[in-house]
Amino acid sequence: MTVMKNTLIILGSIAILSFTFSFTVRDNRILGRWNKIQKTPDGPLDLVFIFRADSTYDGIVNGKAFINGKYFIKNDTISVSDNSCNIAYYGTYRIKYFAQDSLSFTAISDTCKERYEGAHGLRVKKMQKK
Amino acid sequence: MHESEPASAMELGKLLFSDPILSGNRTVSCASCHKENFAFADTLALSPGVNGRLGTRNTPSAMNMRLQESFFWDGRASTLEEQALIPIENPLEMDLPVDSAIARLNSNAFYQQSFLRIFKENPSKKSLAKALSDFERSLETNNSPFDDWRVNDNEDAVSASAKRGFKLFNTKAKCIQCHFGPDFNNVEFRNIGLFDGRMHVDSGRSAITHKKSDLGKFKIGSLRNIAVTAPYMHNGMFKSLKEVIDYYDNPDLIIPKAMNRDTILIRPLQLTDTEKLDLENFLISLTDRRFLK
Repeated sequence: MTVMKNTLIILGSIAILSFTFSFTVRDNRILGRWNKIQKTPDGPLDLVFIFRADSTYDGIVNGKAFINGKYFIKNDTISVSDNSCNIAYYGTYRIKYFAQDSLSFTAISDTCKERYEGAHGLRVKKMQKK
Repeated sequence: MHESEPASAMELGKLLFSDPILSGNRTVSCASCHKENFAFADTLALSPGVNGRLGTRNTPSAMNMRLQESFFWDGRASTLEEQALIPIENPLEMDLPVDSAIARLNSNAFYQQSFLRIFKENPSKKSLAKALSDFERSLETNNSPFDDWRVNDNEDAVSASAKRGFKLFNTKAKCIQCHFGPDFNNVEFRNIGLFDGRMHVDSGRSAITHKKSDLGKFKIGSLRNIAVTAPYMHNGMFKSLKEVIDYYDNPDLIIPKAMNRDTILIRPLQLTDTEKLDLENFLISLTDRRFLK
């Protein structure tokens, strides 16, 4: 009985620790500023995306804030909602970190045309902190 | 006399923009209506051109043109180069055939030399359009309190009221459905209810496309620097942002029998006075610090 009781306590502790760990240790790699310089006939477009720890993000083009929304990440999937479309609707993209400092977005599902056109296939590079 | 020789097409365009040489009677320049202190817009509902002739639509700001896909309230020009020459020829604006403008520039030693140095050719329609449009492309603004808040995470850049206004802008007030993107407009044309076929007869976009569905539609205006670009709308009928917000809140109170008005505005928004003030404060926060006193 004592052995079983100890085993249950240990298993219970592991379960509690695992549960706690899954909620306190998160993948923070997306946090910060990401940049892409896009060439156009009228000159370069300097795109910056800011992902914050409070699950908000902003998009900036040539220093102009142009998009503002919320995101959450589960495994390799990011869900995004912003003011370019219905703010209650979340589009989903597969994210992939590569080359140590870069990130790509591939659409899984997004009916927001404007966002899909901007985000599907987007590759951005992490900006160094000033 | 010009103080210094322009070193680029943009600098040449800047000089030409303010030079009445491009108007029929040499009294009006682009800058006569696009006034720098007012974000290159005018303070009048309709601007006077040569001999005091009034235009038919409100002078839009010439700033933040770089990302635009169409120009003029009815979108008649699809490039900035195309846009740049149209007011020169318009009898109500500068009233000078472009060929005559080119001849003038060719007979002006300063301009002839400047074009030759910059474009490696004498003044032409193409190079004149290039110079003026390059100058307009340089008129970008990205230093508003709103930008400071969102770009630099400066929570003190805008007031709590303006932050509430931003939320309203995105939700209850529905502004975001047309005014989004870096310049708070998009590429569409919309009918906000300022055409009734009686008192308000500017048919807008439909005069260009000849489509009945475009009746009363106009280009969605940028909201950047909005605090200094009154009066508002294609006809300059609203003198203040408060009037604009009151209109959107309940368009039927101002123009009750509008034709083809957008379904977004089918019902009153029912904004409270506090919400209207919050929206106004948010809109003011879109104005570049160079214009905010």
